Amino acid sequence: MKVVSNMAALGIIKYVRTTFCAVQCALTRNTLPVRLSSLPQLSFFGCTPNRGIRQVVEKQEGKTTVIEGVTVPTPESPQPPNPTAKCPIYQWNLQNKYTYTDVLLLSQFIRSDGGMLPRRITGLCAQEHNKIAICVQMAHRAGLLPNHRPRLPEGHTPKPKPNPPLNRYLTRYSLKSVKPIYRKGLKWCKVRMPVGHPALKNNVRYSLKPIYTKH
Amino acid sequence: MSSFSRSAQQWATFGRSWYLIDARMQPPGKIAVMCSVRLQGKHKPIYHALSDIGDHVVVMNTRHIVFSGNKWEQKVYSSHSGYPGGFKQLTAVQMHQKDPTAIVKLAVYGMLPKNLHRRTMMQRLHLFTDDVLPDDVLRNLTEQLPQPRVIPRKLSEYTQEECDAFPRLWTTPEDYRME
Amino acid sequence: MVFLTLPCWIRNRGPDRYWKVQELLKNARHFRGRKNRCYSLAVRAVRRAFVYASKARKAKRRNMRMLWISRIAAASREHGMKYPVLIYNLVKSSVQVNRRILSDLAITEPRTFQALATLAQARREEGLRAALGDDREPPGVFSRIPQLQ
Repeated sequence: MKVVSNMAALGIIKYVRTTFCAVQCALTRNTLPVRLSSLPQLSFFGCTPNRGIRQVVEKQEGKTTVIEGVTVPTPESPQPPNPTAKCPIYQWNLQNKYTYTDVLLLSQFIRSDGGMLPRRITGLCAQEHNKIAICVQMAHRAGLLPNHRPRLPEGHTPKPKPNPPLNRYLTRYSLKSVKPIYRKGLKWCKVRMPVGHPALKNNVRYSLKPIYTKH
Repeated sequence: MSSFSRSAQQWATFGRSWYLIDARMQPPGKIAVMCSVRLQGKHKPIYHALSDIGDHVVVMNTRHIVFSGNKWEQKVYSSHSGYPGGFKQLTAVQMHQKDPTAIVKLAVYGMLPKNLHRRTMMQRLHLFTDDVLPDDVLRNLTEQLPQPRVIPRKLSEYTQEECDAFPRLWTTPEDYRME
Repeated sequence: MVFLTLPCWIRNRGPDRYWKVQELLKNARHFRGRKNRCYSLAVRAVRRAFVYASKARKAKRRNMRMLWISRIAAASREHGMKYPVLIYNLVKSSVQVNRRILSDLAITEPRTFQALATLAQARREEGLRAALGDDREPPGVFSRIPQLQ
């Protein structure tokens, strides 16, 4: 949702996380002053109990429509076990414990169009941000995040595909960049097909078998 | 003991049972392991390679198998017709579009022992692209085998309670405009 | 001359070479083709056959053991255990039944085999039960080696 007034036109009540403390405007179609905080917010851990999620409420009073951003109270969440750490993954002691199937975790770090939220906002350390980005990519390719897609332009209907999409998981490379391995090579030096990602090779495993990424 | 009183036991021991495997979202190799064990009869204590005691296996939903990694694009199935210029190479995608049962069939065929029984055992493998089975197969089925791979749930398949029960790992800053 | 046995008495008639040939052809009589009657062909075939027989005597033991193992593996999977787990835990419980008998039990006496599988399972879950605080064994199973004083 780019501009809040678009939303009013659609007439949909949605959750909006806006920058404004209290948005109140008449339906004058003026472009709202888009005011993004330019300075990075680094001191928000533990300081902001409410998360600034606002719900757009639309009221009809005669000829005027009032759109109001009402702050939604955040439900009380349990305290992390390690609150002194900077990175949320380290706060909850989740290093090497998540993979591409943990969509409830991954969906907290992505935008509605499926891209990653910036690191200065989420506060992830570089390694964990990288790993989460990898996991999110694999989850997208496995089709585990079906509603987090880039929005299509207005009035655009996608062409019907002749074949249903192929199921895949642990897909490391984008589908168009990969070439078929026509020459497999000799038995002792075969060209292997990578599965998964080496960044996740230290993940916790509860079986004795080591993780095997070269099929 | 007379053979008449033990005929039921005889039938129970040597009768062929029919297993059903649902291949939806399952890797073909794991399906093929289960199939080849049962086609050879290696799941029975009376197993012998020369006594033909394999069971029937029905695999459904072979159209909806899953490959890990980029194998749909990278994996290549090669064959040679025997004539000059008869070498064909198809990627897994092309193979799947040509025949949705071919990938599972080739995987099972490669896992069976390479002897004269192989074609006989393959005749006891019944592959179906979807979950619509003919009646004569349905009547024979005795057991459905559990799927080897746990199918991960999509985000849209989680209920609202489960989403709410999952703790927020981080809090959005007050003045960040989320898209 | 001493004739200790009847064959020795028969062999004293005729030339030695004849009897040598007969001794060898005796081993080749069931062969196919001219090998079973022509000495020069039979010599080589008999020699090869003896080599194969020596190798097969060892291979048979190996193959039989493989067969027993695949049968025990099939039977133990029916009771929800893999083959190595079963054997490891039976050894730990000092059950001295070899694989031949185990596979025979699996075929002819499934209840006996089931009892052994239950024993192995109890022995396997011993550590888990101790960790859960329940140190006793399931009823009817004695999986531990009695400590002799």
